[in-house]
Amino acid sequence: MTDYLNNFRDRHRDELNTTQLDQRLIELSALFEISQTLNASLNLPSILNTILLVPMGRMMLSRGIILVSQPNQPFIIESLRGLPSDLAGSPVELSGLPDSPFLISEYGATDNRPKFFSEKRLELVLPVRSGRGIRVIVAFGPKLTGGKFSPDEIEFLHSLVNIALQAIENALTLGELSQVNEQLDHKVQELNTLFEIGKELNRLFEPAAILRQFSFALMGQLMVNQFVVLLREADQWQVAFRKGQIFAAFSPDQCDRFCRLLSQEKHPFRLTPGDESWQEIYNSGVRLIVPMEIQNANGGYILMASKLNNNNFSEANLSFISTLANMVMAALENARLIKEELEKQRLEEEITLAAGIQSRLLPREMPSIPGCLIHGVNIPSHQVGGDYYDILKISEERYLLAIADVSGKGMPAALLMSNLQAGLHALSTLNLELAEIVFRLNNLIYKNTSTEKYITAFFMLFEASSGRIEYVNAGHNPPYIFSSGTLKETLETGGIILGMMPDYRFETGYCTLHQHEILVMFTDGITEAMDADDHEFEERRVLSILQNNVSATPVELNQQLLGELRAFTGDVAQSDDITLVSMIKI
Amino acid sequence: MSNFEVQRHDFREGAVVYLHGFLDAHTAPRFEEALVNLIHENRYKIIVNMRSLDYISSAGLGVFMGFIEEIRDKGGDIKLSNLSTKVYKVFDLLGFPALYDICEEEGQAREKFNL
Repeated sequence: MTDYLNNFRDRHRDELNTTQLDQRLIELSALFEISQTLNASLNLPSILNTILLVPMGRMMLSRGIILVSQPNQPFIIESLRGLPSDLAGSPVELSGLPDSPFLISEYGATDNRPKFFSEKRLELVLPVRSGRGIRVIVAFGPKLTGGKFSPDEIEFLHSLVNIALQAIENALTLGELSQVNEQLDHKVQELNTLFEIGKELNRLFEPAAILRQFSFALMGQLMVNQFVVLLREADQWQVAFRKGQIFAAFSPDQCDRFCRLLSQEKHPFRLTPGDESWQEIYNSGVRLIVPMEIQNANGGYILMASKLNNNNFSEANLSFISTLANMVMAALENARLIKEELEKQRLEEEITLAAGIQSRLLPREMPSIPGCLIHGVNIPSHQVGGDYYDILKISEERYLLAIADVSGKGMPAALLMSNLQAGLHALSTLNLELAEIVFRLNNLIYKNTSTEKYITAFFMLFEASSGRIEYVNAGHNPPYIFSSGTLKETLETGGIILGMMPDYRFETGYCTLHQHEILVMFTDGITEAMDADDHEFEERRVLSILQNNVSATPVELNQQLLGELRAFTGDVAQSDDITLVSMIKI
Repeated sequence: MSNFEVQRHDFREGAVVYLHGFLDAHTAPRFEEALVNLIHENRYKIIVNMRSLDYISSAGLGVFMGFIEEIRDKGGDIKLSNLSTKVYKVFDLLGFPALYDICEEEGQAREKFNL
């Protein structure tokens, strides 16, 4: 500008004292005023408008355009007049242009570099350097008067654009700053959201409540109001949460198929209409897919429809949703583990309770029967089965012995066993026939249980002095009577297991335990005890031990049997209770 | 415990919901419940007056998103009024003014609804 003013007088010597000079000076002052206005404004569109409109009006120019480039970026058409308005905002690749003003009409016709300008029928191109390269290009069309641009006019316009450069740069910087500021605000808002939901998730252990919190954060932060969360539960993909009409009809079949398709995806990705591999998912309305990772595998997926404002999902959105998804997956997994732990604790408490009930139902010490030695053992398995044995004294002469095995384990088995015990104790005082006692017990058990619960049991009335036995075997392992190492009697008479059929009449068996003879009763915890190769102990091993221990006392016999059983099973944990009662008439 | 309260004042087929205190992830379920109740009562002209709302987080905004379509499908709308500068900034940051009618005063919103 300084040159322009210093040389002004020389260049216009022959015009001195003419009105033309006055006119030019007036124009000049007007343009200085404009330059002041430019520099006072930070609004880019109004600055660019001024740069185009003032020369166009004063010099009668038909069109004008302004291109601005950020370092290492193509030029962007920022403002234009007299040209199709849809060009605004489009990028233009320009290179190798001179960095001083030039006229298209003076450029070699074969040179393609200013093609962009010649196509648009622009005539004067004014590039402006800033730093390392051309930052702004302003170009104008020919004068409507048909006249040529004089060197004076060209230099004047160039000066004007140079003056405007600072204003443009200021406005651009401000624009960038406010954009960065907004991005920062967004980031802070995202972090607040993550921090807040993190705090909330720490105190939630219900999957439904966790997913609800997730839905608030997602909808508020991303403006998505249609989405579905698919989770793998018990090896099946299930819709754990859904929001919005698009997913109202999302079927289990679709859920399963989509999850299989997505199993290899590790990162969130957008769906586009052209992508054939996700065509079906796209067609169902899904626009963003977010895998939820747990232990290096996908434990779930979030499928989202488009945002309510139809904006695209940005990279920042993707990184936010990815973090959020992983937090939610971790919270869901924690909730599952806590639930499992509670379940385990509850089960253990139940087992302890059941074991307590069971142990109180067994006789604390064996009542002695005159003329007999008797010994009973019960070894409960870890899971608490339902073995039961008892000896009730009816009179000095008569004793009621029972051994039983309740189906099932845990609390239900313990309760059923207590039912049997209570029933037997009550009925034993009524002076009934043994078959009648078992008849009534069967009805009692039948009424109190479902048919998949049942009891195998053996009952006998023993007359102490004579050794006479009346017995009923309700589907239990038959007890044996051994005489001098020989099997004398297998006590099988009776009927079906208890609790299966009402009003069933049992048969009564009769036999006698003579002096030195052994009677052994046991449950299938002995005969079905397993070794490491899944072989059972079986009756034949029990029989062979009884054959070989002719003169043992009941205690010794039981020890011998259990010793051999332990040697057979080794360290294999047994799943069933073991009960064994032996008696000898002396 | 965050300090948050929801009150409502019913007008025929609509209602004004007054929010007080902090609307964040912790208190969002209570606001959601209030909206669910209005929908169950077929009140679809809803004005949320935020005169006494001190803070809103994204989770709070999420509650607005969850029902807007259903309410508009039923011929209603959610209009917001009396936002403080701080609260408005959050709505603005996340692009809500493009989707929701935000009024200066409750009275304007009621006029638009004819309540």
